[in-house]
Amino acid sequence: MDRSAHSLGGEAIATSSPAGTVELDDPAHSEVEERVSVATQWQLMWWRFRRHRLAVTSTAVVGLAYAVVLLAEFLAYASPTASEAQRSLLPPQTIRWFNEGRFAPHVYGLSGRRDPQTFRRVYTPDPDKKIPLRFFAPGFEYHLFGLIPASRHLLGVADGRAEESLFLLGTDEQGRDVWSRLMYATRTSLTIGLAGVALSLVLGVLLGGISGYVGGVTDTVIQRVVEILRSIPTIPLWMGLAAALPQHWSVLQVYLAITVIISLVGWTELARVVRGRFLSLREEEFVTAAELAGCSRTRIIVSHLVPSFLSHIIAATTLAIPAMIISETSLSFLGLGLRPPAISWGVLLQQAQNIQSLAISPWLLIPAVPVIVVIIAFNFMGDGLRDAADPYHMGGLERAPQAPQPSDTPVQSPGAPLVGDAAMGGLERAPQALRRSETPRRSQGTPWSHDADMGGFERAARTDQSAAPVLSVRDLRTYFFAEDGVVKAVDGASFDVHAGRTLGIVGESGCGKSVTARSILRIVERPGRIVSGEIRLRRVGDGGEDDLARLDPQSHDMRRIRGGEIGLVFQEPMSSFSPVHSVGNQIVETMRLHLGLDRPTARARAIDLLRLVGIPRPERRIDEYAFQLSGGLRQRAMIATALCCGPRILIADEPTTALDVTTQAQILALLRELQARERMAIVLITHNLGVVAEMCDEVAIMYLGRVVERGPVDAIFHSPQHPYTRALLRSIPSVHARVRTKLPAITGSLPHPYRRPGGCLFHPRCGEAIRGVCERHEPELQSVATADRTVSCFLHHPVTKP
Amino acid sequence: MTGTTGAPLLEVHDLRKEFPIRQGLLRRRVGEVRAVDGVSFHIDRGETLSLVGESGCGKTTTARCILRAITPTAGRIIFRGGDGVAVDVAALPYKHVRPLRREMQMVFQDPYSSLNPRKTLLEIVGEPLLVNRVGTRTQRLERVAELLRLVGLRPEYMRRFPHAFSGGQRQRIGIARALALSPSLVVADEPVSALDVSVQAQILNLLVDLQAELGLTYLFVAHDLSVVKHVSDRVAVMYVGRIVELAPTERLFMQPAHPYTEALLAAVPKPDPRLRGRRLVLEGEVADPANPPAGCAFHPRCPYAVERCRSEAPRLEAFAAGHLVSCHRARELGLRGIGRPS
Ligand SMILES: Nc1ncnc2c1ncn2[C@@H]1O[C@H](COP(=O)(O)OP(=O)(O)OP(=O)(O)O)[C@@H](O)[C@H]1O
Ligand code: SF4
Ligand code: SF4
Ligand SMILES: [Mg+2]
Repeated sequence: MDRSAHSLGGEAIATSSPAGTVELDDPAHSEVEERVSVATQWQLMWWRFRRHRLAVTSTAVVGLAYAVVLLAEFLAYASPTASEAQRSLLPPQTIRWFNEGRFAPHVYGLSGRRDPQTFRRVYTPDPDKKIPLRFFAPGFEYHLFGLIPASRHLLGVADGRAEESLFLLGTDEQGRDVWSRLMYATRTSLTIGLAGVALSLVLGVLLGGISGYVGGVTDTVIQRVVEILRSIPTIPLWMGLAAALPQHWSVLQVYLAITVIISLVGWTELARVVRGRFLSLREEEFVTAAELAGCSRTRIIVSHLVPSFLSHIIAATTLAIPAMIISETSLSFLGLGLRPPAISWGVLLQQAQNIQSLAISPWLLIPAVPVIVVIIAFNFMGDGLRDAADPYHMGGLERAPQAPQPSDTPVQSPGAPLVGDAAMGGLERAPQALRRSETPRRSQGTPWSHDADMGGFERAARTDQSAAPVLSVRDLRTYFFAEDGVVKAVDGASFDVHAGRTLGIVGESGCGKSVTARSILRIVERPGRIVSGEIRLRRVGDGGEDDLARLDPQSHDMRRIRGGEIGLVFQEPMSSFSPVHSVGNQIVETMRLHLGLDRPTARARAIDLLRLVGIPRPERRIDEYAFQLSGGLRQRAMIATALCCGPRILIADEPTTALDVTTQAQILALLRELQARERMAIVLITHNLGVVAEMCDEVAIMYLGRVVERGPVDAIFHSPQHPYTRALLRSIPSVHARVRTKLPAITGSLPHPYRRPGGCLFHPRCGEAIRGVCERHEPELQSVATADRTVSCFLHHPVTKP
Repeated sequence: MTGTTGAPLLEVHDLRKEFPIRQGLLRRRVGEVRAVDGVSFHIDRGETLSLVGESGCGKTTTARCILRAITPTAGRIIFRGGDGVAVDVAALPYKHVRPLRREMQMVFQDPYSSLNPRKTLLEIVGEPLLVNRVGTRTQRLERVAELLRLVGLRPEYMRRFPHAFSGGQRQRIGIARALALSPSLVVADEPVSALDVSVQAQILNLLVDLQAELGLTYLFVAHDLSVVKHVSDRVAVMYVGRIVELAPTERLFMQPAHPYTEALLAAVPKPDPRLRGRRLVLEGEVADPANPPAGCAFHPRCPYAVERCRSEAPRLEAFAAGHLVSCHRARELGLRGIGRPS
């Protein structure tokens, strides 16, 4: 490595360019990537928000609603206060668009008379009295935006006296036009929400920010106040405060008072959001880095903290507005909020309180429609914003944001058949074609292998020593179909798992190890699915095979295999346990479900099991929760859960990666001991080659979703054949190395999942690539030397496919 | 490589840091975690000292105390910067810490959380220059370009945001930021443990190259002994807030004198199936620093513990030249280390 050799010492800023060649790490170029690379937070947020269709539509609806706020007078055609007893409770008119084949919108005039029996006015349309409609018609005078004097209205009648002849949504008891009043009401109701939220925002951000940044006693006091405020039932609080408003206050005063009352309660939620973000941000390393760089407190707050939660505040605010609107509407509806002559949705709906008038004049309920529409739209918009608020979450754009999933994910019982379901999200849905193309050969009822009284641990004798593998995976392909591309997470994985032996699956992050494990158990999350390949599991009785790739992931058989026949241990034991069930309970429930044991028996067996995995005082620990256990004990408990049904195969996905070396050694020793006892087959997924050397009998090396080399562990370590395996082995630091020696690193980095190289996947980084061959053709996994060694590389076999 | 010209760059004497444990509504102090409990060591100019130990043993707290990212409870941290004047970092009032930060920088463990996703590379790497008012705008721009080139990134990427980079590349950005002010001491807290195997080697090599090129001094915090062997001149092993052994790297690996070091070395998985079964399994768990065992903190797990270990705490004493051990039985045990591969 020939780096530029000039010194950086001293304070002066060196301006010379380096002399030597510099090894540059190049994330490949493409236009899209270039665009994404320099995209700011707001751009990323917008791209992400845009994908949320419902949110975008809702935003348009909200936008329209606020257009009404601005243009209420223009959209109304009658003065909202113009009342006339002669027109009381008119029904809505129908607009007729054509007159004798020509486009000429008009309504029929109405003639009213009093019903002698009910004393109500009844109206009949008069088809002969056509009242033509006009757009931009003259009408009552107003000031547009409160400034520009105007008298035109969107809709009106030719003679300019729309009050007397146009009633699109009917009239109320006092004969006032509902449509026009609705326009005015929208203005009040939607602005009261905004004003309330603005006030809450100030209070919430200020108090939440202080609480989060200052901490200590201040934080404690503010938090207690928030808790007290939140624990008061809101409706009585509002009612009490609103009832205290003096009757003689003007409309404006009442309006302001209501805003204040509503926001007094509303700020607490925002304060919590702000404080939470502040606290979590303070823990972020980049804040420490800024401090170490010499940034002042103010700079850290203004330049690092505030931009980081601004987007969250916007989202939280959007979600707070509908709550404010609802509050005002309900208060006014109850007669406690705004009172006539003010006009708001709540005031309008008050007229619909009376069942009798509602029965006769159902149109009085029309103002409920905009309330519902606007509230829903605000909520969807807020949801979209919230999802987009942190565009860097989940690897940013790499993993496509998930739209809210319809509720077809199966409901799992607490001690679900699969260890750690809680963390896994939805189960995979097999493509329709695959799912039913072949009915499982066994009938549903046949017990898979579990006779309950045999329990888990006397199984050993049953698995025969025969060479046939218990599990064979052939050319498995699992893809994720994201909106902006297909991630071929697993793209040709083949390996065998034998009883009593350990297979290691090795590879770098993102090479598809975990997705392979999930595919075997059929728990791949959407939008992923198995597109082809076989996962053949040998049956215990007759030695036949079932192809798990063709089973319905939610079928009875699959659920029985998952957790029963095949156990799974995850890397992060904390997220795999439910926080609301004790560890023991989860084991007990699993055993009851799979083995049909009664509770006392299951409990006794769970205690045995916890003792077996080396948990001290299992009688007490069984009732503890996962968070009460240390990392090592948690991993042991997780192994106990995976083992509780006596699986034939244990899949351990990075079981020791989060642990210290000494604890790691303990867990690996435990796995070996259990395997010797139960003759279990273990699939050990890891990127730690030391662990592989220690534990495995066979090894499969994966690169970009494909198994590139497979063989017995000794052969893999002592005569690796694939250039990637060789490079990987060379690059790992070793305790046997000489002190302070450099490592021969693999050059370059893993390609982006959407840009897999053509030809041999490894060729851009391969030191032995054959020019003209490796970048054009795909090598296949073929045996070299002995049958149990397979390699996919043109150094070892000729080009077969064109 | 160990440039022992004159006084050491950094001397740490009896460093202590206690975190209070608070409980209840009034958050009354009910006890404390002694995260760092009397740690002493020094680092010479141009050398790499590694701190190793299991999670929770106080490695990171020690490192952060030295940088004054947190304020130690007691002890002295003598730092001799570019001007050769000794300063006690631990006793410095907060407002005088800032100028000192130009001389000490940090590389973080998590390449994701350590870069503000809302800032471009230029802003991230240039921030230390900007807030310390170094150079003009164009000079800063050139300096950032140079730093990026130095860590193996294209200067054209300056306007990009961190989300466009992989973990290894992000770690390079973090290193460039740490080097911006030309510090003499770089504290690297687990700089490769969050990285992939193949990237790990690239970053380790980069750190070693930069040290040679810029004459940096490293305090390297790690839990992985194989990584440590590739970068350190000397290694300090920590257990529950204390250093139990400190020795030159080769010596520590070949002839450990503390039973805990022996156990750690034995526990490292060796990437060779032919060496299987030699792994010694240490029973039990790391002691709770809020409530450490009396006597030698390691005694509940130590296979060599005797009666004396239960009551009397051993002191860190010279075992051989440059080799310190804290164990009553260090001289009689003759522990097994790791040799060269056979
Ligand atoms: N839910 C998902 N949606 C989209 N892509 C996904 C999803 N889950 C995994 N992937 C992609 O599939 C590929 C393989 O991921 P996988 O988790 O199997 O890797 P791995 O080998 O287990 O890595 P690690 O060592 O980091 O655990 C990656 O490119 C990943 O981004
Ligand atoms: S096929 Fe060619 S590029 Fe691929 S690993 Fe073999 S030699 Fe390298
Ligand atoms: S002092 Fe005793 S318990 Fe501690 S390490 Fe030495 S022998 Fe073991
Ligand atoms: Mg994984």
